[in-house]
Amino acid sequence: MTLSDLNFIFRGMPLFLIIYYIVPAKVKPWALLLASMIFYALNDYLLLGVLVVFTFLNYFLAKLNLKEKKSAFIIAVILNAILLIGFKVGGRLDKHILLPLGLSFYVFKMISYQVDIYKKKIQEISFVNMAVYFSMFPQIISGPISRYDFVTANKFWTPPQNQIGKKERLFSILSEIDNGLKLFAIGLFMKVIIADHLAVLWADIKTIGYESISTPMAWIGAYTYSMNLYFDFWGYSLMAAGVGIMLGFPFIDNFIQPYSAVSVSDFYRRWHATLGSWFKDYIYIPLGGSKKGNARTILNLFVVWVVTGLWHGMTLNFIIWAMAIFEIIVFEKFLISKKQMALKIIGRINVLVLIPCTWVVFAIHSTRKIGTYFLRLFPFVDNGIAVNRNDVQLFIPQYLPYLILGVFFALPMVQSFYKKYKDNIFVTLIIFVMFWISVFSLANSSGNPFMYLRF
Amino acid sequence: MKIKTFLLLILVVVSGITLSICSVINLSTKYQEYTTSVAQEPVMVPLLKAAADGVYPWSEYVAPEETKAESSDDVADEQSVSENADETPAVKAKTFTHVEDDYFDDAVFIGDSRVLGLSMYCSALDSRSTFFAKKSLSIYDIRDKEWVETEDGREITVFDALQEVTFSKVYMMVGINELGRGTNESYAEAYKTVIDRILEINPNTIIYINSIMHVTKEKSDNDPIFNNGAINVRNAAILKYVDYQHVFFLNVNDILDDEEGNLKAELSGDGVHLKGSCYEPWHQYLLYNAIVD
Repeated sequence: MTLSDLNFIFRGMPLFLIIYYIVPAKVKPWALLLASMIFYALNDYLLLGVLVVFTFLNYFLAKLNLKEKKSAFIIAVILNAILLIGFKVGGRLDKHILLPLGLSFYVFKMISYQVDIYKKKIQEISFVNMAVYFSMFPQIISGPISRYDFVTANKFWTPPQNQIGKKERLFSILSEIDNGLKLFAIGLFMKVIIADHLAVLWADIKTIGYESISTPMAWIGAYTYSMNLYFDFWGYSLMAAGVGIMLGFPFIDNFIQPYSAVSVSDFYRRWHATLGSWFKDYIYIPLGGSKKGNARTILNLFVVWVVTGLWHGMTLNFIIWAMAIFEIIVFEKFLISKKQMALKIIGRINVLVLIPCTWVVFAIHSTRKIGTYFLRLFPFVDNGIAVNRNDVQLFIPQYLPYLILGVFFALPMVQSFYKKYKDNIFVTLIIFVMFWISVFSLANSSGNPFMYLRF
Repeated sequence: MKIKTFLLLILVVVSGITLSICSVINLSTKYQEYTTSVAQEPVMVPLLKAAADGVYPWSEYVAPEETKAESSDDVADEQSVSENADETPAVKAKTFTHVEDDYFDDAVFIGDSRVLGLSMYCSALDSRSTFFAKKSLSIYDIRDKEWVETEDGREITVFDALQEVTFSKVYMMVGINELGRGTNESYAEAYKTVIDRILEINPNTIIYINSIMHVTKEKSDNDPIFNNGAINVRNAAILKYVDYQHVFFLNVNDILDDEEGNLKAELSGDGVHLKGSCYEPWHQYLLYNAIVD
């Protein structure tokens, strides 16, 4: 069961919300913890034990860590890192080893929790708050990687103040649920309608074989995959943020209009922002950040990007992808940053042209096939076999509505417009229609986008 | 506190409940074939699935007819087939020979996305033959639906389309989309109807039934519906219509399979379709397996 599962939307979520708001404030974290355990077990009951064991382990080490036992802090960080690396390397060496659901995300939260205790940002340990932080169901599958203060900021976990009437409190709950629902519906639409349909076009290109696509088709493919990834991930993040808001948590912005970035460095502050800031706070800055001279800065960036690449996957393409980003960032930071005009132009070109090319490397796991694809993108050598010159006209028209929707939702003004008018009745009605279009599509594809892919 | 601040919640709850009630009311009648299990999916799902098929809450419900009459037809059909089979030895069976590409000048190809792929990535055939191919096409669509687009944008049946072109060879490949739908019998019956209609339009035509192309081992092993076991059963179901006079069977899997009887993995990007660069073996197979009077 994921957030875009109809049983979650129409059964699990409403049922949980009713229970969650009936129980007293003090019990709410426990209710969320229980629901998260059930959610996890429904998805991956075999490896739930790993999460549970590491939650207890982190709890005991956190208690010692709080008492300023440095060794406990070091052991905690090393154990958490070993858990992640062990499963990732193990899974790569033996495909029978399964990765626990959400491992990459909850291990990062565990490390963040221990570091924040060590740095005295967290001064009180509550088992339930900590366990909810690690395992909460909206964030467990693919983030966002919130910080611990996200959990303690919940506005419904403290008993109501006397001066607030029951009616007022009910209205504030309903209004939070409505706010969350809006984000959830928009996220669902992005994922189900835009991302899932563009995924089928990207699959079509794979079906044809990269050696047989025309150069225009290769470029459309690169932008298609870029939008597929963006709306799949942004949509999911919005759904997760929406569920969070329904439960009283603050909003987490995980994608801050990345394609309006002015450079690749800027892009990665906006793209999967919670991951980027994790790397910044827990790896880049502890290594010295940019304060220890140019050579150290470059080395620190290199380390961050190698780890970023490996975090995404243990295949060579992720390393190539990460190294490409690293090189572009170094190029921007050291070669063109002094010329404002050049940075303005080249930075934008990097975001709008080079980033889609790097996503192709991210998407294709075989280096040989990456080579084939890039020769189609940049046909210096003609490596085409049986290329149909009209493939764009033959394949694209049926996907055009989704490509247009993708470009539309990537425009920064759409987001600004939403922020300004989100309570407008017409905007609400549009979101209502988007919600049912997504549900209709889900009902007819059984949640599997490739159900559209008839032969 | 204005109602505006939770309008979406109200709308979603009210519409969700309304759709669920409409769905439940019609669950045992018009939504019967769209229901899997109430335990597995929210109750409004059958309504949404039916709406995709053009069956709305306000559509009139027609109870399915008894199928007794049809099954007696089946028996009659089978008898006539076996009679045909008895007669076959009296006429000399035609055999395959090698031809050149101009053989396809008056050929029509009818089929699903795999034939569509042939038209896109085999220019030798695309430049000579007529293609009536469409993604997700099934033998039932060929039999019943208006799906061939004319130049003026209308959609007509393939039989009407065949009246308008000159053809003496018809190559067909469908069958993968029908897996998991209907029965072997209904599939074969629909094929028979289509064959008969084509021969009615041009009694001298040669119909080549291309076998349903296999899928790769990886796909076959992991898919409960689209696997080679199911494909083989469907391929066998239409062999009885081959008469070696007008109707021939081309087992394209002969040249596309690996030694285990699965589509060669290197020929396919998704396990189901040939890659753009891999249509040539099929083209060659057609060149070497042609009938010349």
